[in-house]
Amino acid sequence: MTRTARANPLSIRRRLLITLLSVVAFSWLVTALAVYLDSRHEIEELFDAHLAQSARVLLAMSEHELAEQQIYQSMLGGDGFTQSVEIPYVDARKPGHEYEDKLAFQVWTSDDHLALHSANAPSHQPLSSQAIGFSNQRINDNVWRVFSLTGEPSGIRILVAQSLEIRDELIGAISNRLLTPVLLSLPALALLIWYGITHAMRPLLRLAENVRNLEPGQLKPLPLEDIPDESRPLVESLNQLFGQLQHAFDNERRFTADAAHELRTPLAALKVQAQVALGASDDEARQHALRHIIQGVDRATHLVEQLLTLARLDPENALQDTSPLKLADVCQESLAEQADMARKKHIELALESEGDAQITGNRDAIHIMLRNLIDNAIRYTPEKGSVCIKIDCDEKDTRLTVSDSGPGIPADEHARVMERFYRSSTAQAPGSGLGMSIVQRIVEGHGATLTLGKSALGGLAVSIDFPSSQTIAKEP
Amino acid sequence: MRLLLVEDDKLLGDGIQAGLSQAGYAVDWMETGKAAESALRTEEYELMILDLGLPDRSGLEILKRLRNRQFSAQDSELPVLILTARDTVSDRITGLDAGADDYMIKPFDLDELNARIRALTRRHHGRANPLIRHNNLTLDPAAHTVTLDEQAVKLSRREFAILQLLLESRGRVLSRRQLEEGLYAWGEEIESNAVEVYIHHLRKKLGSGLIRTLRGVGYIIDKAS
Repeated sequence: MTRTARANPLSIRRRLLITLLSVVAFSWLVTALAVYLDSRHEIEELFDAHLAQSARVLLAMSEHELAEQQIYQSMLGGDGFTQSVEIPYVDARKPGHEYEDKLAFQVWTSDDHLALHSANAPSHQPLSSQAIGFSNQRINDNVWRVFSLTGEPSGIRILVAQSLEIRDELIGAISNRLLTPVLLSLPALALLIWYGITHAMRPLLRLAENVRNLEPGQLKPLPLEDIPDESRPLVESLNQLFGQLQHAFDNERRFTADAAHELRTPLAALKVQAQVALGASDDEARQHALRHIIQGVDRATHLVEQLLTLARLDPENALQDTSPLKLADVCQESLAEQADMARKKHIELALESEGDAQITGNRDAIHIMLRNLIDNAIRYTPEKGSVCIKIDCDEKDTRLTVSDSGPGIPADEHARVMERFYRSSTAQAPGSGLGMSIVQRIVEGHGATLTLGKSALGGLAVSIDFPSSQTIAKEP
Repeated sequence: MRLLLVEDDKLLGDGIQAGLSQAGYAVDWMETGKAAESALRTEEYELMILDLGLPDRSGLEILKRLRNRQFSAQDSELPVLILTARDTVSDRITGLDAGADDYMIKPFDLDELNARIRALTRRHHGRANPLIRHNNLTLDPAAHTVTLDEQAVKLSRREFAILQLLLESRGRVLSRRQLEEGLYAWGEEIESNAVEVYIHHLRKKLGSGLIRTLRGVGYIIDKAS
């Protein structure tokens, strides 16, 4: 089965059309059936009454006739009806009705003599054996409704019969008239419904057209005019989503541009140094240039690594896996890693931890955060300085502070330091300009807040406040 | 020829300085806008290579001040070549409109940088021809070659630089200090009598009539006869 064939029944228009048509047809059919049954009953009542009435008229007439004949016979010395009289079929020339041959009657005298009968009634046997009342009889492959009536005291028995065909024909005609308009109007109804649905769907189609015309780079909000109430929440949600997407796109675009620019300078340095090495006339100059090439590669590598770290810390895919962490342990680990770099610069590292501070967080992310903070502190602190990590914790919250004896960052630059690729004007050491962005992202991911200030050691103090819930919360 | 390089990236600055020195330029390298401005106030340059993304101020700011004659020691027409990582058309337009003469995007080719510097200085001296001709002498700044009567003359880097300086300012006297400044960048050790020694070598190789000494004033190559 092809995709379109499977997808078609899902169209709202088709579904509505089929549902509406089915409901209309079904209710029409139920109504027609009820009318049919009711009419049939009424028709049967009417015809039965008519049959009974005819029988009574015939009986009255026959009794009257018989009485007259008996008087006449007694005068002649005869014995009443001696031969049966047949009423012939209606001649075509005489006025009559086509239904007449569907009617039959017999008049029997008390001595079981058939005195009178219609041409289509049997001449030797009664239409029904029943003495009185209605009965159905099969005669010559036809079913007849027979009414029997016996006169008192004359003993004349009247049998009036009517072929059931009449009733069936009549009921059939009524049913036809009931059903024909339904069957004829269904296609017209289908067209009307289709048109109505199409009309009602137009705002939705227009909405779809608007969405189709959107370009991923330019997600403008969809217009809310002419939007039916039912789809308004959808459009509003879409617009909200578009806003978020556009923001993310813009961020991404800016970041890519910034990253490209940041990579250009180290690449330019590499190229120039390589060309210098090629053009150098003495060994010393060549060695110098080659050493700089290695430095340049290291720096570009660091930048790429920081970029990758930042990319991995995207809010969508990072910081999912959290566990309770002893902050002091992670700090110790991170400090140990950087001890070598500190020793080279004769920088004293210290960890002051009060209490047993515990937070809930992603261990790797917290580790990356600390590594960046300690790395920055050591990098920007001059030789023989000091770097200190302090953990304060009370019932309310946990505060981690990394302070150094470096030059610090002027207060008016504090906000900009968090921007990607921003490098402070006082920065004396090489860096990617991404470290604080990485720290900031991890801090936000943990619901913590970061503040910059002046440290007691004279340099920068970076404080991170973890929220109280995280201090107490223990993962189940 | 003395150039001012303003670039905050240590590796790149070092590379450009080394590369341009190889080509015979004296390059003063400044890492901040502040240092660049004080250099512009005190020294005379033939050309400035300016990075736009400086830590303390925008390179464009320095450029605007230069064009507004805010640095007294400096010719406000100093050719300026911008070096930047920003590559959008609007960035380039902004740079050129602020008074830059040329624009190069990182990463760039050192040889191309050299060629552009040559073109800019040539234009600055009002020449369109890349070769400098003086009577039977021809100097090719790009190939670093000198020919006398169609015969190649082998010159050292410094000898070539002095000859080029004197030829570029034909008819004008250049003092010993001016020549030294064209040869040595800040921090480079200047050997005493170096200029006299190079002039002596040049006279030996090109004939004694080319460079005239004005005792107590300096040296001059007279306009072509």
